[in-house]
Amino acid sequence: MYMYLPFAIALLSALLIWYEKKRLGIALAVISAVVTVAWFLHHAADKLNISL
Amino acid sequence: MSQFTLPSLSGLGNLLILFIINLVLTLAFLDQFYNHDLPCPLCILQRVGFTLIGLMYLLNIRAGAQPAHYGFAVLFAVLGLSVSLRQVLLHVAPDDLGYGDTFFHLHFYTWAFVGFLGLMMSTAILLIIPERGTRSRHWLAQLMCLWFMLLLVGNLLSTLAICGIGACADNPLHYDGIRQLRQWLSNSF
Repeated sequence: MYMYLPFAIALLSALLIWYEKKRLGIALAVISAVVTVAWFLHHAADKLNISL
Repeated sequence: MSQFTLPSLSGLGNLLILFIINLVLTLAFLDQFYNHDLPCPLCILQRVGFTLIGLMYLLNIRAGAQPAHYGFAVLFAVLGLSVSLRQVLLHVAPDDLGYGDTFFHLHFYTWAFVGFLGLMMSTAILLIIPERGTRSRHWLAQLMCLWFMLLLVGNLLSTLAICGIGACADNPLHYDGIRQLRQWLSNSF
């Protein structure tokens, strides 16, 4: 998995939205969000130094 | 809305929010290039959060608003809010100096938290306002959309330059992607 992937997918989504391909645009935005969540889980593995 | 008439209140709201998102992403770029403050992985993910919300407003402006678009915008704002909250909590301890530069006495990730919260609230307000044509081909709307897409291309190139084609360093100090590319080119030719 690559860090630039969320932006690359979002750019494809923006191009589809520009040409009014709504459903495909939304689908790609959601895929970009899923990749972002995966990256977030990868980078949020350290334990926080606070008590909640 | 035609090319020459003024947009409706909801149309103006959509334009204003896309303008704010563009402004936030531009400020992040200015800090990156002017102060040489390279974004950390969580900072990049916050930029993605703003970009994803922006995509939904781009959709409203290009193809017309629907409640589902606002719903997705709120979900993407929750994602961005979670990333920024995580970073706030990472540096919340009293002796921690935080990550990166400050802007009006607050770190950028704290501003991002405020920004995502504000975007959630403004999306809720736009859902309350009666929907009267957010679809626009006005020159101002076109400008906002093109500015947003330009920032998206910029963020893609910037992330490639910082991280290369892999994971980012936790605390990036150099454009490792450019370094990797130079190394690959010198090895290849």
